[in-house]
Amino acid sequence: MSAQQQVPTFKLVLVGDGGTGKVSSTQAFDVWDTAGQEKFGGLRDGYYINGQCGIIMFDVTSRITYKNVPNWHRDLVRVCENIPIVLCGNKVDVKERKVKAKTITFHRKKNLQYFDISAKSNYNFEKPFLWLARKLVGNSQLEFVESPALAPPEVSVDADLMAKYQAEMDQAAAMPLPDEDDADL
Amino acid sequence: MDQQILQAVDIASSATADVQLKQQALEFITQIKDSSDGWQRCVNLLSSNAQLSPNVKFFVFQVLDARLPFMDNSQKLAVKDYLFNYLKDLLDKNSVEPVFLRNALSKTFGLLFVHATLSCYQTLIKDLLAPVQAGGTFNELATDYYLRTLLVIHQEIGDQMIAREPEHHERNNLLKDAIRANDMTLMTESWKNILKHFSNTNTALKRDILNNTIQCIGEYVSWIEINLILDEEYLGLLYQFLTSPDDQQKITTAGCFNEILHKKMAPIKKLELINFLNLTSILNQMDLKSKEADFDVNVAFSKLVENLGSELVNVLDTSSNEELANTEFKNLTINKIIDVLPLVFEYLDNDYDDVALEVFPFIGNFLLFLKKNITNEQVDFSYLSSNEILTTLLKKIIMRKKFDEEDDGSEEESIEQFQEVRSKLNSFHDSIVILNETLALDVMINCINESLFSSNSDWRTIELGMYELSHFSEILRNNVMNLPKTMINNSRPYFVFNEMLCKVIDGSTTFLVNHSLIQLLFFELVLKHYTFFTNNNIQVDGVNKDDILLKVLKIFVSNFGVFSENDKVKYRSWYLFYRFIKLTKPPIDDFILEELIKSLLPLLSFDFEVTSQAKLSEDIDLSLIETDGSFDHQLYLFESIGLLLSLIRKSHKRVSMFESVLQPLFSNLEKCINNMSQLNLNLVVQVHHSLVSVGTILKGFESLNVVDFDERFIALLQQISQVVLITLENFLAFNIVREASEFCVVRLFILFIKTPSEALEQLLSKFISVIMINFDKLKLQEINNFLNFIGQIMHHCGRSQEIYIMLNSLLTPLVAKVISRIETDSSAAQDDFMKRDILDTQKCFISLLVSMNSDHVSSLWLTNENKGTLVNIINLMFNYIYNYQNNDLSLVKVAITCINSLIQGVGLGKVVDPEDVFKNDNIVFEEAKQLLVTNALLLACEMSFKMKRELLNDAQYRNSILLEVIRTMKAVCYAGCEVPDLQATKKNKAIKFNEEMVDQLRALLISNMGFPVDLAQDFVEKLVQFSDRHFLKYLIQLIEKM
Repeated sequence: MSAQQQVPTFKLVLVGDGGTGKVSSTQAFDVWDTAGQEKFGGLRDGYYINGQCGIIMFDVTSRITYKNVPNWHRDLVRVCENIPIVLCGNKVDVKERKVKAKTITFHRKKNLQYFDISAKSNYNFEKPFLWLARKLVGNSQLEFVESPALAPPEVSVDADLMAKYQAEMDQAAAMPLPDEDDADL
Repeated sequence: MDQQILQAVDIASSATADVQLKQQALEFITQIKDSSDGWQRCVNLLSSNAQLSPNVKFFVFQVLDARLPFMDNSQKLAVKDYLFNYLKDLLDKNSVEPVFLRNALSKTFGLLFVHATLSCYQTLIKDLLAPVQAGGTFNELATDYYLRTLLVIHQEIGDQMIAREPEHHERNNLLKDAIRANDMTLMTESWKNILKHFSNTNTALKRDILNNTIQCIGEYVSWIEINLILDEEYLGLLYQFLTSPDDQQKITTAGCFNEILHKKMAPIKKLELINFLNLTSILNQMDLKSKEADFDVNVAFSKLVENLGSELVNVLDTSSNEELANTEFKNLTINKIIDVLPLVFEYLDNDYDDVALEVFPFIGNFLLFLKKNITNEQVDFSYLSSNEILTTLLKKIIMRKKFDEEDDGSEEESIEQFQEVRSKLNSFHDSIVILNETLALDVMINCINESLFSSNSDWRTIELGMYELSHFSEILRNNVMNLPKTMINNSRPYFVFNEMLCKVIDGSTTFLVNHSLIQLLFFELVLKHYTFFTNNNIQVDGVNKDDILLKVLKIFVSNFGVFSENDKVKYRSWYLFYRFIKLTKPPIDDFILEELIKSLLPLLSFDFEVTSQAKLSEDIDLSLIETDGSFDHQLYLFESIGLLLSLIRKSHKRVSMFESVLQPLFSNLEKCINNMSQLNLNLVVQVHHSLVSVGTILKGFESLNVVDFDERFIALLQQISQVVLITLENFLAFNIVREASEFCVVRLFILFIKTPSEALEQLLSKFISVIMINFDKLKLQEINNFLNFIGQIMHHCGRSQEIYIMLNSLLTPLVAKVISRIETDSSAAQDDFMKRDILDTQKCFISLLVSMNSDHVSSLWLTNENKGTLVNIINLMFNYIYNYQNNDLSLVKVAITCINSLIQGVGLGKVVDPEDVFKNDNIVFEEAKQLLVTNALLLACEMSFKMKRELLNDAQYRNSILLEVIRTMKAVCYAGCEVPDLQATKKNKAIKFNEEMVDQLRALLISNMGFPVDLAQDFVEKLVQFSDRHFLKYLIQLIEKM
């Protein structure tokens, strides 16, 4: 890349319930953080305006945060139509996982990319960003020039646990999507 | 104009504004949203005709959205008027706002519908529809707002995925009813007209309109009358968009059909729907050409085909037997499924895994349905599992497991992803094996033969063949065919597999050359089937197994294996070779063993140069130090060499070969000791690695026969002992050298105890004294290892008089040092890690004490040297136990176990264990009764009846502590008698117990605990008769009653 060429920058919108780990998952990146003001007013989805890609984050140890994913998705696409979006299940390092792989199907319905991540242990942490970057520049071979300066992992992920989750994900992917119960039919 | 609002929104939206200023802006914004008249100010802004920034406009709608739920009817109607005026203005000016603003206005309209329809304003949808087709033509912008609003309304009241407050369910149902009653027909009619009008369009707005219309149909179909959109004209339009040249339209329409297919209805109705939709023939007519089509279109169509197929399978799966008795219905469904299969195969064959993956759920559902009905005798579904279908499907599944033309199989990440896809395919493959074993095996065997044994195959084909052979092996191992266990080894599949394995080994050199992945598969497979080489019952006609074994060994030590230039293959095959040798102990000639050893030697590096910059300290963390070579992998080679050495039959050859292997390691150590004056990190690491290498070679000798321990061999072991001990003495200060030396000493110990000799005693006494003198240098982990080692010595050598004497003089000083160390460290412990380490040491220590009883050396406690220590230990254990509120319960538990074992060992004041060969009946421990037994009973009462009641709810306390307390009481009651196995004892067999002790417990219960006499009697009777767990139940009930 010549010196004159500008490094392309993109606006990323990162949404999800409070406490799902949005801040810690972005610490390696230069991110404009709304510092939780969305919780008490502020501009809410006004911040999404002109977003070019998005991450919806939930916490695999808290079912309600996954239940709210469709709401976040709806609000996000109303403001940013047709942007690449990644769904991330965070905190997979925690042993007491509540949102099991086979229940994570929303991304298949909406054609989103999904990643299990653990911001605390750096597990897969760069995957969503790399996937979005590849989508945005239209180059599937793109790699980060240097891996972002990582804070040392605070916890280590259990390889067996990850393998188990992966196996569950494999199973889940081969299963049909569950029906929603339509109460009034 | 309300400048304040404009400024506040601008500042709050800015990424760069001053923090304090921003804070003020945000506070102001929140005020506007929360105040009852803020929305009015915002609406005024909107209707002021001023130029507003998009962000401000967006904010205005946000404020309205936030306030709508709290407005009264007149306010809502006022908002309605404002919004329609604003919309009219936009339409008049034909002003196309950015998408997010169009959505924002539509959202406010949608929320107005939600909050006003049931109270004051019922005609929102009609009013929005009115300008769509004014004056005989379509107004594009009006159409756009109309559709966007409908989408919002669905999302707010009908979308089942959205999480909602429970109190909104009823309101939403009423709103849906309102639409069904008032708007549904108009809406569906309008969609049709819009589709007709805009069908051939190309501007961005028109495309949006079409996509949103199709999306509306898909969204609303789940809860409105489906017949309103199921007419020929509608379908004709949808087909037109499905085949449109516009990719986005294709994708949206495919999604719409998915929603229609997804509509819940009874199986017969669903079949009618599918029949009417006629998608299979439309898709067939389309000539999909998926190889050339756009990726996203392929994904969408692949998903549609999957959905169609799965819905059909579901029709069969959810139909009752009565329904299935209707042959026409059943056969029509089956034929529909058979018609879909070519489309499924089309996408299963796609170049991209992500496209193929979309049809996987159908394949899974289809095969699962067939498996579920294998034993269904009432309904025949055999058309679906015909040989033709299963053969085609399995062939496609296997071909899907082949590496892609564009993947050269060298990049870890893509290999990993592909293996995930393969594992899903393997599960389909296994299902077909279950459905039709003979067919499935024939297809697989053909594939393997064609891939491996036909000429001119490229690496991808050969790799597929090897992969399938490995999967074949998995199928056998998991017994997917469900053969009777005793028949597996004699079954045809096993026979065929073994034949192929031999063929592969025989011809391996021709195809191993092709790719590292093939080499890895080959070695893994050979190892997995090591029993082929060890089990004489497995024979293959015309194959000499000795020849085949030699061939395998030769390939292992070739450039394809341990000498590979590919690090991954090289290191993996070092490990696999080690496992193979360990498991097969190849029965080959001495000279071949020697050749094998000699050929491995060049791979060993004896020069472990430290490559990272690190300073020398006495406390070295090896995980932070990098060295040249690959020490960890190399250990597998060292152990392999040990194993091969131990297999050499001629003793003198074995020993001299062993000597020559040790030579470079010994001279390494010698050099290091001579260079002590120039001590550096490199030197210390060199010492550590050399010692660990020696110990690892020794590990290989573990299964050497006792008869092979001749003088020369023992002399060599003695020489090793000396080298290890001298090195230890010289480098005592360094933790890693101490650890490596202990590792060697333990390995030597394990060999020496096979033929106990003076050499063993010399080694132990020297090593133990060096460690004891330098005990303060040890880290806690080293202490744990040392304690475990002493436990090993007790276990194996308690009957050797020399060792017994040594242990007798070791016990008291060792106990003193450990206790003192635990005390010092406990008072200095800062963090939880440190506390955990101390706890580990405490437990190792106590477990050594406990093992003295089970290893029959309790008499060590009663010697003059150790009697005093016994008293200290008893007090210490009681101290740990009584402190149960502060101590970790796992420590309390082992302390009770320790008391328990002491009662068994010396509770009667003398040793009664007949297997304790050095016991002296003249020695009596007078304090036993008071100090040990009485105190133990008091403790049992305290822990059972006087502890805090909440502890009963603590499972750990109940199941671990109380159970151990019961065992202690039992140990007292059975003192001197054989402890009966109460689970196995027949009721009528008399149980012998120590009556004096039982009396003492009964008296204690009465006097100290205030038990009535008959309860105390009941208690002790049950104690000696019930099993531990049974009595635990009784005890808990008793405690709860008290």
